[in-house]
Amino acid sequence: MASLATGVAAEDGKKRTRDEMVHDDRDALSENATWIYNDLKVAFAKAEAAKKPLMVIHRCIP
Amino acid sequence: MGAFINVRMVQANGMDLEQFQFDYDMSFGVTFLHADGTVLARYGSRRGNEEEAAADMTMEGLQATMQAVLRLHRDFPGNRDLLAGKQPRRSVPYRVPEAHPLLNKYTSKLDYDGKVAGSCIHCHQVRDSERRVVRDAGKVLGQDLLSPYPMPSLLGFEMDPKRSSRVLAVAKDSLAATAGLREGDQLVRLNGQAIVSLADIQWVLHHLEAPARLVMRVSRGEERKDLVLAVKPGWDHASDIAWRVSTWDLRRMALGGMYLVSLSEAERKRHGIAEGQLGLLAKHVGQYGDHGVAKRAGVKNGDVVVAFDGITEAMSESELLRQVLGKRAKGEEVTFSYRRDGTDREAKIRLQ
Repeated sequence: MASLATGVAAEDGKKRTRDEMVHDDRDALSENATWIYNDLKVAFAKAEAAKKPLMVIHRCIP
Repeated sequence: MGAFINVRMVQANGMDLEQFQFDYDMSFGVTFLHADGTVLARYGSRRGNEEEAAADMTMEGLQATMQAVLRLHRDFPGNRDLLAGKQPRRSVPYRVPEAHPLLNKYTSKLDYDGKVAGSCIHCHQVRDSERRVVRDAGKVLGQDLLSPYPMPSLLGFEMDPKRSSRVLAVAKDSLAATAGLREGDQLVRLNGQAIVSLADIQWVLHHLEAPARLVMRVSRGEERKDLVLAVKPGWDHASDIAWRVSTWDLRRMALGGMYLVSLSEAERKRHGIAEGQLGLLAKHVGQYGDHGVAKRAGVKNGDVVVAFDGITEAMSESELLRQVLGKRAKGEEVTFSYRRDGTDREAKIRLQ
């Protein structure tokens, strides 16, 4: 959970550009079943259907 | 985490500012909501220096807050009155950041097919823009814009970062101590709002208009008590805003782009700064454009500011920024003195 909340490290260890880090973040998490990526409309609909609260993490990719 | 619908938002583009109001200088923050949009809690805090900041957010603390949020969610809507004060303020000038005239080069989406990082609105840009509008209108900045989300340490108490609402320490002779707060107390309510994180406390303090009563409901063993703090104007004058990324723009406005830090005792002696006298080291002087105003006035890295707009008493950069931007408008000229190699020099800059 810590890495998902706080960021994704490059697998190859090379220094990434900011554009690359933004892409890496989306690539790593957008297919992750635990997370809804940048889509509040879907999130609110799922929360309503599941009767669960939302945890919206605002994360500036460093 | 399975008990929540988890959302990761990596940009402020398209963010509903009537829905999401939190400390926009945070690079990590959490808003917990009910599916109907009711804010249940906020999480994400940091204080001044980087060493201390790492302790303000812990995984244990986040997990404790998550557990407390689940209890709030379970009790909703019966506990709606405890959440009323947490709801965002509806009077925002722009619904989304990109609607702001200073941010209208951005769109509501990130440009993943192009320069994606450059297409991103950072959360701190929301406050940057709010401040610029005020300055451009020729007005001074109020404390809510200058010192957002103050820490409870200014009232004399610290919260345990590993728990959701446990008081870690109370400073002797502080306002909190005088009111009867004790280490180990569980802070259950603050001005009627359910408290499950430090960010929840900061939300209350951010909206406090002193003079004001701050009512703390604490749980102490089997006992529940209401403690009252009488908060006076200026209570947050020592709030440290130096760490905030949005403070860079305040430095441009008030200091001509200088980044000033307080001198150590040894440095004060070396520079001949007497006790009680202003002594702020120019750690970095902006080089270009609007951030290079002090540089063009003659200031260099390593110079020590000893007087600024008539201010000669010792204070932090944060307090200097508050004083200057709280009383001087854009376009006004200020005079300041800086010391280099034992010699004082005078310069003038025009505030932005």
